[in-house]
Amino acid sequence: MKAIDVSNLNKAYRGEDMVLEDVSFDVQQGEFFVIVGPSGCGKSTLLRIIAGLEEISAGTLYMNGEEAGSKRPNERQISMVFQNYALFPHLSVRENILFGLHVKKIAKQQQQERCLEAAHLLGLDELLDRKPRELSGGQRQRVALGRAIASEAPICLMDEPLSNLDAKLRTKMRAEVRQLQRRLGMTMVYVTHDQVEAMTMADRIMVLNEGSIQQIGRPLDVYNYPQNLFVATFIGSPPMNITKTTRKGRRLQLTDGWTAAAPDLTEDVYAGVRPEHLTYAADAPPSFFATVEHLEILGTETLLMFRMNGELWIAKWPGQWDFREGQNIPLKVADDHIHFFNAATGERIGSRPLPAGLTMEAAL
Amino acid sequence: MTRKKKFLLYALLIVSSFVMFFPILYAFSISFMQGGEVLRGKIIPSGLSFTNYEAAMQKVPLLRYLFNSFVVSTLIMAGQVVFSCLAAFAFTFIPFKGRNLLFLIFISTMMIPWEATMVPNFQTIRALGWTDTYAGLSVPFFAMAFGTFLLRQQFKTIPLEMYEATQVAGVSRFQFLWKVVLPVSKTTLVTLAIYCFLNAWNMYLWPLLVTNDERMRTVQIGLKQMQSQEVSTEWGVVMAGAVLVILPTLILLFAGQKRLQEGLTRGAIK
Repeated sequence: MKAIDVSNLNKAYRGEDMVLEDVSFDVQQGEFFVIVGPSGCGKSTLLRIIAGLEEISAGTLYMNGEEAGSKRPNERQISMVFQNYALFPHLSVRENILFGLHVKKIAKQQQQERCLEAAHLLGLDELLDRKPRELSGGQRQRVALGRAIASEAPICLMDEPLSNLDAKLRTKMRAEVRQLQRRLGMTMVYVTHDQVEAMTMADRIMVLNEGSIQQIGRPLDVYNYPQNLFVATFIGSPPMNITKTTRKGRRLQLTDGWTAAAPDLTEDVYAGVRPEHLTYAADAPPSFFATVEHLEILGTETLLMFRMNGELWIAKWPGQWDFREGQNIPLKVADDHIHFFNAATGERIGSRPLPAGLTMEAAL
Repeated sequence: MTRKKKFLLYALLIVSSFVMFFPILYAFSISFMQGGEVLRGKIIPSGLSFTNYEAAMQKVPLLRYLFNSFVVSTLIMAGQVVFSCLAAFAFTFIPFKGRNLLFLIFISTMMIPWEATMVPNFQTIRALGWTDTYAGLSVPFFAMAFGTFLLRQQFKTIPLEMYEATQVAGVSRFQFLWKVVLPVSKTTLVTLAIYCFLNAWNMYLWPLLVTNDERMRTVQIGLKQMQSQEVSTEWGVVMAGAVLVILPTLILLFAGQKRLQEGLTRGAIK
C-alpha cells in the first residue's frame, strides 16, 4: 500500500520562483525513502509540504489513501524529527518524549509505558529526568527520535537529523536509525544532503536538483545506472569521472588511443567512468596512459589523480600503491563500465535498470 | 589582581555607591528628625523617634493610598504583560500579510509622548464614566509598545522548529504559548513585570487627573499633598512618607534583582 502518493506537485513562493516543479513519487508502507540533493534543491520544502507545514501550489498529495493536501499537520498521522531536534529546553527528557500525547487523549498510564518503551529502545533509561542542555549531541538526537517513536505515528519524517553530529557518531546513529525503522516497521521519509547517508540507509533514493526529480530508485541502481550527468556526479564519492568524446567513424574516442563502441546517436556524447573502474593495467593491454598528478594514500585505499582532456580524474584502488608524481602509468577500463550521456540534455544513453516510474512493489 | 589594586577598586566602589545612595540615606535620616533639625543642616538625627511616621499616617490616609497604588500597579503590570505577550506572540509566530509593517507602526507609537495622548484618553475615560475607578487608572496603560518589542525579541530566539513540532503534535497555539514560549521566556517576563510595576507605582500625573475622590488617590499624590498642605513644609513628615512609599518598590527590586539583571544583560552577552 502507498503510504504517501505525490503527483504533479508544484511549489512556488509568491507565484514566481519555482521551488518544486512537477514532482511525482510514492512511498510504500514500511519503506525507508531518502530524498537527497544539494542544498537549495527543495528537498526540505518537499518534506515540509508532506508534514503540512507548507502549502501546495499545485498538484495532489495522498497519505494513507486519503487526500491530505488540505489537512492540518496533526491530522496527517506523522511524527517529525528536525535538524536542530526542536527539544524544549525547560522540559525534562521524559516530558519532551511525551510532549503532545496529552492532546491525543492517551491515558497517563499508557503514556508512561510508551515513554519507557521508547527510552529503553534508545538507551535513554538513565537520562529521563535530565534537561536537554545536560545531554550530549547524540543523546539529544535520541530524545528527538524518542518523541517520534512515542507518538506511534505510522509515518516518520526526518529533516537532516544527523547533520549536527560529528562524523563518528553519525556513522553510529545511521545504523541505529535504520535498525529502529526496520524493527518498528514505520514508513520513513528522510531528507539529507549527504549521499553516503542516502546510499547506506535507503530502500529507495530520490535524487532532487533545482526542484525537479532526477532519478528514483534503489541505491545500487542509482549508483550503477545514473540517469543523467547530475546523478552520476552527485552520487558516489569520489564522483564519477566525466569527459567529452570525439566521434571517430563508428567509434568514440575518449583520449589518445582509447576508443569505445559508439552508441546509436548522432549528437555529442559525454563518457563517464567510476573511480573504482579505472584499474591498473599490469598485464592486459592498457586503454590509455595517464600521468600521475597527485596521489593520496589512505591506508585502505589509494586515490590517484590525473588529467584527462584537461579534466581532473580520480582513480580509486584498494590497498596501498606507491607511485611518484609525474610517472606515466597504463590504465584499463572495461567497455561495459563506461557510461554514456547525451551532451546536450545530460540524459543517460543506453541501458536502464528499471523503466522510469516503476514502483517499489513492482521492483521487488 | 594584586592586593593594592583590589583595595583601590573597593575604595572607589564604596565612595561612588555612597554618593549614589546618599539622597536615600539622607531622606531616611531626615524622617527621624524633629522640627528645626533639618533646617540647621544636620545629617544625623538627634534621636530615634517615630513621631514623623505617625504624623505622616495621620495627615493623609497613607495606608489607603498604598493599597490603591498597589492595586493599580498590579493591574497595570498584569495587563501590560498579558497584552504584550499576546501581541508579541502574534508578531513572531503567526504569519499574516503586512505583519512587519504593522509592527513598525506599532513600535513607532513609542515616539509619541504619553502626555500628547493624555487629553483624548481623559475624555474617553470620562465618557465611560471611569473617573475615580481602578479601571480608569489602569486600563489606558495596558497596550505597551515597548513590552511587545522586548518580548518579540525574546520570542524570536525560540527556534521556529519548536512551533512546528507542536503543530505536528497537534498542540494548539495557545498551549504552545502557555507551555513552551512563556516558560522559556521566564527571565524576560519577570524583568518586564518589574519594570511595569515600578513605572506604574511612580505615576503621578494621570492619577491626579482621573481621581477626585480621596479614597482613590495613589501614594505619589499623597506625598505631594503633604508638601502643599502646610505653609512651611514639615520635611521630616514628608520624608517619612517617602520612605514608606519606596519601601514596597525596594522589596520588589531586592526580590527580583537577580532576574532583572539577567534579563537586562541577556541580549548583551549572547
